[in-house]
Amino acid sequence: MGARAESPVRSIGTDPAAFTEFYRAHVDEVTRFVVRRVADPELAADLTAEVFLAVIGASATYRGSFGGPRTWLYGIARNAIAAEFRRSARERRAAGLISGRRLLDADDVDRLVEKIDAARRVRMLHEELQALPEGERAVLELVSVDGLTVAEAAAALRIRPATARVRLHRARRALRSTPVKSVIEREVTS
Amino acid sequence: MNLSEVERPPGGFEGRLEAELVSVVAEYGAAGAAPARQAAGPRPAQRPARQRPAVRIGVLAGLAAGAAIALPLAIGSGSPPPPATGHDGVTLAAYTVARNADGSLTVTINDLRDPQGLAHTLAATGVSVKVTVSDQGPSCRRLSSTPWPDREQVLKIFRNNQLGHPAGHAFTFYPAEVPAGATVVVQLLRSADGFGLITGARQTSVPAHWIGCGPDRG
Repeated sequence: MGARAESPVRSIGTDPAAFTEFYRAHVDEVTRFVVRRVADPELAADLTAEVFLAVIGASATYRGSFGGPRTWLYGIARNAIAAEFRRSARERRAAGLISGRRLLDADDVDRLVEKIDAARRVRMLHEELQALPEGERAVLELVSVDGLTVAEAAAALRIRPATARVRLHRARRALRSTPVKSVIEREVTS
Repeated sequence: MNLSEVERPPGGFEGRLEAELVSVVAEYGAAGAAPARQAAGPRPAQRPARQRPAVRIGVLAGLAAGAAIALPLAIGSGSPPPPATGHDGVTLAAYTVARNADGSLTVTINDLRDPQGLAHTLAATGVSVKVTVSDQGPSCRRLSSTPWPDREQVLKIFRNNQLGHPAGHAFTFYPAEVPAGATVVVQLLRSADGFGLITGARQTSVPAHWIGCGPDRG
């Protein structure tokens, strides 16, 4: 998918066919993105639904992104999940269009738990990053937790690559004395 | 992920979520646009039905889960047509609903007035039904190019599609084929180039479907 004005991404909010194609190409990636952040399968289902609803809402404003729709999606996903965490559970129930957890059956929960278990180590890393200032945390999170390059993380966050590099440097320096230092170093440099 | 994986409908949670999201997208498409940057905002308000002979009309129909409901074949009491053999038609202002011997209903839509009347008549079969109206539907051309998974399952519910037929846009609704706990959603759409009927799904494992499109009578 290109970054031109007529990109298919721009129509996924109103065109079921375009949305279906995008969804199938990215649903697994979004689910993995979510379970790197939460360990509860029902919450993961809710957040997966929420990310795609955010994608639908934001699609008309897609203007292309370095790294293509994937980095755009990561930026959307990160914002949507952060917004969800800021809401109370009651607000979530009142505002949500789709309750992801209601769509789960026992097999789905088993599969999600497998993904959640597989992401355990990187999820611990994500938790450790919560102490960092938001701007620095966002860059390090996308790079070390989600595996984006610094340039892709900058695109996802809509900041300049140079800014991202500075924030990444600061984040790594801030964490250098913490118990997760070795993890950070390995994730960032790998 | 290769192309064949992308094209294959996902199962389980991912498949059910896809059906719900496609339903949301179809509604936004019918309304003309998704609400910008609204992750969890309200659905767009339905525009009031207006008779506008020059425009073409489409129908978006789907399934939505509601409270668990039984699926009795007998028509309930009240204004809808009583149980009968053969055809026993009830003419509404904008729709004709004829009851068939096998429990199905043949629905002919003449215009977009009185969606609630149609909903009440269809709901008398014991199936939960919601009917809404929107001014701008996706074009016939877009509907025709829309691939939907599991089409056969939904086609059991909506059969004999005669969209654009001179006698009215008709289809036959089989309430007995509606999965337990599902709500049928029919969205009446005005589209630019024809009359389409989509079945969508909300909160159920039955995904959205395009099942027909034809020139408008008007």
